[in-house]
Amino acid sequence: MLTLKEVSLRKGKRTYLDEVSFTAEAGRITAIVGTRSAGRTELVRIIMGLIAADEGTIELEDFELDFGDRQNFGYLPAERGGYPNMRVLDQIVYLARLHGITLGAAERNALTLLGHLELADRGYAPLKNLSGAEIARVDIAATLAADPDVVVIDDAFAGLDAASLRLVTSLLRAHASSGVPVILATDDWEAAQTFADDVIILNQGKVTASGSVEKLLGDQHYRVETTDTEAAASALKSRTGISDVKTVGREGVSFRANDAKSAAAAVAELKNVKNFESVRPTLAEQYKEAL
Amino acid sequence: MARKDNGANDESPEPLVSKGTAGEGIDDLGVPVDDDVIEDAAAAEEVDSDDEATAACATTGSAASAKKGTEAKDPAAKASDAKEADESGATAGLDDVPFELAEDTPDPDELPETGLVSEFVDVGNRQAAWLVSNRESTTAMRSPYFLVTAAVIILGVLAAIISGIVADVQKDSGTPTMAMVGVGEQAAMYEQQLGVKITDAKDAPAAEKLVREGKVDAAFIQDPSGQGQPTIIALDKQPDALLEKLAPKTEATLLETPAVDGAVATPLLWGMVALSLLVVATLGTALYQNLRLEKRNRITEIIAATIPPRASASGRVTGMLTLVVVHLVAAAVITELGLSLSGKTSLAFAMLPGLGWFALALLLTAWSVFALLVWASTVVGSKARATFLTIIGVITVAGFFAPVIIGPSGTVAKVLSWTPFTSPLGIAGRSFAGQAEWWEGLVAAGIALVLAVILHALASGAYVRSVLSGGGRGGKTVKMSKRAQKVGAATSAKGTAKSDSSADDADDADSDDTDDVDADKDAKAAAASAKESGTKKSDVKSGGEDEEDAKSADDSRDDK
Repeated sequence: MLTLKEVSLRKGKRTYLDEVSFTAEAGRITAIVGTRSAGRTELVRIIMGLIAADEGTIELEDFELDFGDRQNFGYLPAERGGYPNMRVLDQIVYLARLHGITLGAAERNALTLLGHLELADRGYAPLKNLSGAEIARVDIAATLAADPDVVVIDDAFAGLDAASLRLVTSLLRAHASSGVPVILATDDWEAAQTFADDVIILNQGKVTASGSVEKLLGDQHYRVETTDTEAAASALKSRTGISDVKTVGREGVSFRANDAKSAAAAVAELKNVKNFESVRPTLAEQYKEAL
Repeated sequence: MARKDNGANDESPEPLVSKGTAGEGIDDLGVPVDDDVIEDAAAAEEVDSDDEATAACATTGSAASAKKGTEAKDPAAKASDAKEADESGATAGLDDVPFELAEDTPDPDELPETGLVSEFVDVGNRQAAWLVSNRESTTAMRSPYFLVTAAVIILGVLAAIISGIVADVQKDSGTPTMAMVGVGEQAAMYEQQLGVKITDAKDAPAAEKLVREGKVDAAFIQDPSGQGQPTIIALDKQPDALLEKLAPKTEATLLETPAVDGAVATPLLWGMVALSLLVVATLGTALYQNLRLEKRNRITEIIAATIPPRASASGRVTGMLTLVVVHLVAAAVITELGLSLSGKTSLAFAMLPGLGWFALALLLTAWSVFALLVWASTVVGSKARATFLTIIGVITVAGFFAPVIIGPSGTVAKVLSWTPFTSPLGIAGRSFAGQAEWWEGLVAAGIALVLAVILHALASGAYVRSVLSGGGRGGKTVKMSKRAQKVGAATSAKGTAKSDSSADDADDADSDDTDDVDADKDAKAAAASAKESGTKKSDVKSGGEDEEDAKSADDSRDDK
């Protein structure tokens, strides 16, 4: 369990992070999402000890972090790349050994991870011979090769195609399941919603919302398409058990209902209904637009 | 350090093990696998087929007896006994297999879902520096530059030995000059007779002074008594061109006897200049390029988050110094062996002190150069880095050439032989000329060492600051706003959002100048310019930061 308590970062008049607090639970994937310049990279770097926070503390299992603790953090920065001329296996082993893992274990883990990521036949190729998505997978392998106690990945889904995303996320999930907090910083809201357990929404250095994905997604919404949106909206608003009525586009009205039955009953009374469906706004729809 | 489980025993002599490790598997050595446990078929048949654990223990002494005693018991009792037998069997197995011979195979059941094993050793500063150093040297050794350099050095030395360059005495060119005492007006006559240029000297000391100052090749000194034979004196080498014109041919008396003949020393020193430049330039370039690559690809951050940055900086320098030693040892061994094998053992011995001081001073000079390159790699701004690199290059090249050009004699040569950067060739040249005292090499090495240590400390500090300020993010003040304004102005003026992607900007952007913290400002500026020009995303392409700005602009528009 990695806990950030009121972490702030300022420089001059500018505040990059303002009392950011959250907990990345062991065994869960926590995504830090936000728009650009939300302070994700700064936050990740503070976690990794690359920038000193002006205020606040970071604790691992209720003990404040020091350099020794971070030695077995798996970290992958944004805009990353490896050694182009170095063989994939050598690269993973080298970076793993810096964490203190023995040569034998590093090699074994490297091979295991390359197998998981369907790169077993690329281990002896120089990195420059690999495709972008393969390199992105190698980066993940290098991050996990030392069997880290905490995983922190900035711009987590960068460079991954659909197949790679599936492999990487299942590997990260498996690693998290061994009791490791996995922290992913990303601006890919959809991926965060799909793959993370918990989400921290960051905006201009402040935590706007945090919690489990289910909690943040909230209740089910419904959407009705009609030619007369104004009449439909006023009719829905007048019914009990219906809330959060909004017109969406030219022919759409969205609303929240206590249950599906009451939603259907309310829609049944509307005229000129072309379509009725249950929808659940994504995190991006709920938060990103607001940000 | 936090671990995911508490399975490891901190007091164990084995490495700290967190989970699913080979070390943990030791406990399982006593548990035989199904294939090798049923030795006695009859005994096996007696065992309840459902109770494999009990059967599995049949072959281990105590476990076997335990099993036989429980045959008649109900299944629950059997299961209980099986568990106990299993444990006792494991203990027995552990006793049977010596610790050193324990098979290093983790139990698949104990491995995590990812199949990763943890087997850790403590990584201190020295081990971390060694790991980095090892990678640096290995990478550099595999590079074609290193191999070509090594080949050039070895072939150059061999070629010099085989062609006899070192044994050939260079013939002096031009008309030889000689000082004679009291020849007066007869000088012209002697010049005509001997074919040498004659300089009149007042007396013998004046003639000797002319020789020492290098104004004449030799001096002809007559015996003051007129009874003895006249003598010819030269400074530090036989004036062969002059002596050939005298009949009968005699040998000159040398005022300063060199350890190594000047005819050998001069080409040797030029060879050493070439060697020094090759070694320092090749390895220095590899070091610098690697540092920039790591900076660009953010590997620096990964390493800095894992090991102390100072150890990382030291590792890079020591890795390259190891290769300098490899080069020097190879060159020295081949030179000495070659000379010995070609019958020039005395020359080989005479060269040893000079070569030794040269090697030591060059190693320390290379240390300074590499430290400066580490420092240069941390400088923000491509122009500043280029200036820094130019200064390093000029100091290094001038330092290697100056002592050879100036020569081994005189006060300047003495100063140069003690001064860092010029000391490798300076002390070697003076040593070959027999003008250096034994302690001067130590002085030169000592001064070079002090400078190297100072530069190393400064470079390490700069590296640490560069890394721990986040590679320019959140810690460095970079004039990003200016750049963004420039980009915006340029795009507005052109009516397109085609950003200025000059090499400098790209270089800066891909390195340490990227500043997420200021990126929003840039994004806004770029967004504004993009909005104004109303161009497409594809038009807003440029390297590094400009691209970031452009992306930010696009994102901003998307968000809107």
